[in-house]
Amino acid sequence: MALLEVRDLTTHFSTDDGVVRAVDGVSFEVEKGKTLAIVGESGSGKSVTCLTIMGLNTGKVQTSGEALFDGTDLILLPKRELREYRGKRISMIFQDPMTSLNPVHSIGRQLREAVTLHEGATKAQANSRALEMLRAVRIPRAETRLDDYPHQFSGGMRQRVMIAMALINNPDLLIADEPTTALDVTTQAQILRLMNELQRDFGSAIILITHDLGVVAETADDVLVMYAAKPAEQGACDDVFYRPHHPYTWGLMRSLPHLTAVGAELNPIPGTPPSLLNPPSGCRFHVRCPYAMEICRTVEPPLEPAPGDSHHLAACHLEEAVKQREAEQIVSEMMADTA
Amino acid sequence: MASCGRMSIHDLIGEGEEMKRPGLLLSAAALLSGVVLLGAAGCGGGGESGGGGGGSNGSSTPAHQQGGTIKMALAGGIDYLDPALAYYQISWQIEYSTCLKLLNYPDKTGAAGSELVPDAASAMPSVSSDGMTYTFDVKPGFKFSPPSTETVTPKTFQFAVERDLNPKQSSFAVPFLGDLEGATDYNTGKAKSVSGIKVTGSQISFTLTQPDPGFLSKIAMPFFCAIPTDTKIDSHGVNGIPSAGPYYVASYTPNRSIVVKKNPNYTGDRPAIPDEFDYTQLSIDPNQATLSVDNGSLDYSPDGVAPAQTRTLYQKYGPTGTNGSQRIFFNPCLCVRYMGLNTSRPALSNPMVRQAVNWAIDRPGILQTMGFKAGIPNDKLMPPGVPGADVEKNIYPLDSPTSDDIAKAKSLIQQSGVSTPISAVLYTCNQQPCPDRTSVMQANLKAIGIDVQIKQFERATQFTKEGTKGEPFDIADEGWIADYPDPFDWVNVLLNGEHIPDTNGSNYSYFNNAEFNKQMDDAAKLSGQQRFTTYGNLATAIMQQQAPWAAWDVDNNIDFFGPRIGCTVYNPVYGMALNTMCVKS
Amino acid sequence: MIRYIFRRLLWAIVLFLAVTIVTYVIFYLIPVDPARLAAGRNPTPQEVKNVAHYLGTDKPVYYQYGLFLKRLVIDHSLGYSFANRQSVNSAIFAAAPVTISLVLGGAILWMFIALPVGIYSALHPRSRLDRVAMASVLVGISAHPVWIGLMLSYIFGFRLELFPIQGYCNLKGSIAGQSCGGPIDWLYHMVLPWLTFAVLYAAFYVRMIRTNVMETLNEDYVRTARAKGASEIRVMVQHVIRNAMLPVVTMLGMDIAIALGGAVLTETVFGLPGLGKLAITGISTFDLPIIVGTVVFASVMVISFNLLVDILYAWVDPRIRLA
Repeated sequence: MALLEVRDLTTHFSTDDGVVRAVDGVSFEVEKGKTLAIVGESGSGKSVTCLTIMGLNTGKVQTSGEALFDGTDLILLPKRELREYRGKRISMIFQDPMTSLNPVHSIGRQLREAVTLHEGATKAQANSRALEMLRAVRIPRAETRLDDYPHQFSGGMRQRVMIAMALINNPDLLIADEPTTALDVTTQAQILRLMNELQRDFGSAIILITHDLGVVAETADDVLVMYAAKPAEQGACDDVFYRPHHPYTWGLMRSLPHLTAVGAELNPIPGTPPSLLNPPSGCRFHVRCPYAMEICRTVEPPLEPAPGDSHHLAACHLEEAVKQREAEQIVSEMMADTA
Repeated sequence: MASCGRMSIHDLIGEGEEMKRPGLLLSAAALLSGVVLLGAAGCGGGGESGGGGGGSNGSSTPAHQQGGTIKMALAGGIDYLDPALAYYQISWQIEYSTCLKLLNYPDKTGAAGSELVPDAASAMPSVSSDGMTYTFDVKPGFKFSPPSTETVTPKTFQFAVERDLNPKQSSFAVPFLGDLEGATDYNTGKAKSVSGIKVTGSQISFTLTQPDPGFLSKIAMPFFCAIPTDTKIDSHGVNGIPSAGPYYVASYTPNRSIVVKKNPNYTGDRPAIPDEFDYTQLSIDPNQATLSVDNGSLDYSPDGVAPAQTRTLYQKYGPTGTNGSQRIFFNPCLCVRYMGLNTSRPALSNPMVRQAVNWAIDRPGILQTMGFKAGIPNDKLMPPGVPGADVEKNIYPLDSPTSDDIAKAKSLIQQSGVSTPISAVLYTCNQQPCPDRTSVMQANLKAIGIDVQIKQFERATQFTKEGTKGEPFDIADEGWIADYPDPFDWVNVLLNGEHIPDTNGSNYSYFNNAEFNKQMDDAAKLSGQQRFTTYGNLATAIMQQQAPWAAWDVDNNIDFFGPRIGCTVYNPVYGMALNTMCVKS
Repeated sequence: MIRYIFRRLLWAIVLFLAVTIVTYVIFYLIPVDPARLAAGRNPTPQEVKNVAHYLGTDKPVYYQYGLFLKRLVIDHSLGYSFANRQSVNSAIFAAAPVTISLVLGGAILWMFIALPVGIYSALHPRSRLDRVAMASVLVGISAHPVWIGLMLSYIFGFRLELFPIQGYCNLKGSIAGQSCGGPIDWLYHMVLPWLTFAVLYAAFYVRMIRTNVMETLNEDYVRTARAKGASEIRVMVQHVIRNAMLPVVTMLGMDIAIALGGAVLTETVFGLPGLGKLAITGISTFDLPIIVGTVVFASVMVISFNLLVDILYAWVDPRIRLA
């Protein structure tokens, strides 16, 4: 049985302007010790999916579907019981390390809090755990830094602190919401490497939210590509990367910066993500899709397995032959570039 | 806003009361003699009641008791309690109950209350044949309040006057002693004593440099109150000086409280009914003071009746009020409000135009902007209460002008030959009711072809400008309260044009008529009833022929008492006499 | 740190000089002769001159100002009132406790009102209580303190006789002539003034606390705390309130400092003989030494509270501490 099984999850927010369908029918599984990457543009619902699992959404929320964690449906769990999962069995780190730590509490205090919220440790015990974790995330001279405040750390160091805090209770699942987006490139690489190593040491499963396919390629076992609150394509990392089946995935791959082609233009996907207040009919991507057909405007494509691979799903009306041809074309371009 | 007699520091410049002339502090009420304010009958006296005239509380034979503590509060605070410095109505009201003076005004209402009688003196003074030396015989037996053990002797008064004149005291009394022989030398440090004051045995005599029948009124001012001869000379004023009158100030906490107690050593015959007056607050809000007096938590707040509430209070507690016994009293002050018509500028230089103004203004209409029963319409130079005012004739309309009056005004302007429209600049203050009342004046004068342009100033700025020679105004919205009740202080001080200073003047009409200047100088030398009759006729002539003013009102003093207070006496000079207040038993 | 304090003190002195100089200059721009006002009767020009000499107003402004500084520095004296020749020092020392009673009591009261209401409103925006609170805030901010004071005093003092209509009693000991004194009388007389004073500020602070708490609730670190498994109460107490209070502390310090310079309206309505009343009387009588005295007191208050707030802020907010 998978560690986390999410089934047909929807999250709707009531706002003054109407109902925002932020997540609209998402299903996926995360295996113990494995990494699932959720990929998509801003506003595609990837963060909300995770916040829903954690019960951290604010505002007027309606949620349906289920999120079975170790057999317990987190969606139905009362707040009080959900709190025992948070930070203990499921931890989360956020996009912006600059604002995710409380500026008026010392690092040590915030780390200790994570411990004492879940177990009756003494301050000394909590302190030594905190120190241990700071060392684990390679913070230099960790013993001298427990009494320091967040503003005394750089962005990368703060994200290390966040990771330390997230892993301090040895959780089964770590949700990392764009953990490297706010960091410079060198630091990004360091943090990702750190997360990989820690996953090995701690054995936690990871849900990695990102819009960066490059990061996905380096870390993920499975990939879920989301577009406008719905899954566009999902499957094993290799499947999605080498046999992408959805024009949106193609677009994401084409928009990767080509490190070798200095000065070459980026190829962003034209247009902007649709409003979730009033999403387009039919396939939500049709407006921006260069392959769009008449049917795409009216009929919503079902999420279907690719032929011969029941775990590789995509939602697109294109004929299988077209998909294969395009996928091969893109993959060969990518190979050429990175060669 | 305080009514006119009730001036306090606050009022001097203050918010509502625009009347004061600067510097004058005035007091109030100054004195007056003669006349009639009907009024206040005292305890057990017959009560006329209140409407315009007087106030008395408890008319028939109410049961009163001796003693008790009267709880009071002040809105505007107190200036000084040192007799050499105190000069506001509120401090003079206290001094009226604490001071022993050579002469005083009796604790009576109406005409009787404004006639000087001996106080520490055993009789009225003898006057030398040249009218220059006044000799008083000091009654033995007066003693100061604790902690002083002194007795009052002629030397006491010599000391009091010399202390006032001491340059280190910087007393405000100095100007009233200008005619006292040797006073100036002593005041400028050139002499060691005042040569005009002589003490022999039980007698003290004052020699003047020129006859001044007004001297008696001056020497009766609280500046010349008996004080122990060991009182310090201190220009900052000494608080808690023992006094020899019926009461004394037992304690004074600046800005907070004053306690006035009965003087156990007092042997005179002035009444001293309550045991004590506690001024529990010196900075009460008038609205709050009115509420407090209404519900009895205070007995009396001399300057604390909120103008906005006088109508309601009158309906409840007036002479025909719904609440039984009368608790609010309206009494005219010794003051006049007037439009000073600037004779030195072309617009109003013609006397006929100034007479026209007097015929055209709507006195009750202007008064209406001032609040309920704020005063009574008046066209005379001198208010009722100043000796001689009863002789002065009423010339101009006290009611709203009729069409005949307007026609008369117009024809006067026509006869004057001045072409209309005449433009005139009017100076007034920038707080209500100044803007309201001057707009009524503006409308009145518009009707007879005078276009008035109103300029508003902060009050102190207004009178400073008006008192500066050459200031381009034609009409001054002014008022006057006398320092002491003598026609000299109205007619000569305000309208004699011989000595108009370049700045800080108070002859806002810049009236300078050689004929009348001479008549004023002559009248000042007269004494007795002749003095008052002459001044009355002189005032009539000035107003009739030259009309340097258009007088329009005499303000009312408004006093409101708590339910416990059974009787009061309104002295026309000092206002409500504290020493006569009694508590119902 | 020493350098910092030294700089602050230097700045305070500059500020102090600027404020007092401006006061002097403005005073003498008004075309009114203070000597004439203090001259005591219908004064001849000679008498006005004498009084001007006595008061020192016949000297040039810069000379008077220099004299003021000299007296202040050497004799620690603010001089004597023009209007009643009493020592300005003693007038201010007598008035200060009254204003301090009013302002500190009022501040405690308004924070007691504003904290729970503001936090509740932030946590339950658009709830019925939030709407009621926001409507009251509007009333509190719009209503004139004099009106509020008179209403409270009329209803609770005059009509219901629950509290004194007005007046002040000393906290310690009583003053001759006043039958009251001591903590109970003091409290009893201060209730309505505190309420009046607090209404306006409570309104401001409810709104401010509500906004700050709502903003803080949206902070990432609050989400972090929840993600750690902290309970809502713990989140509020440990993470939201302390951060949301930072700007409130600054405002509170400044508001208290400014009010200590004179809560004019409330003092006037309730006849409290405090600094506001003193200042108003001084202004209306053109009493320069009293005006300058209250200005000096107010600026010393503002300057020292500023410093105090900075220190407090640094204590609460580690980001400031080392900066």
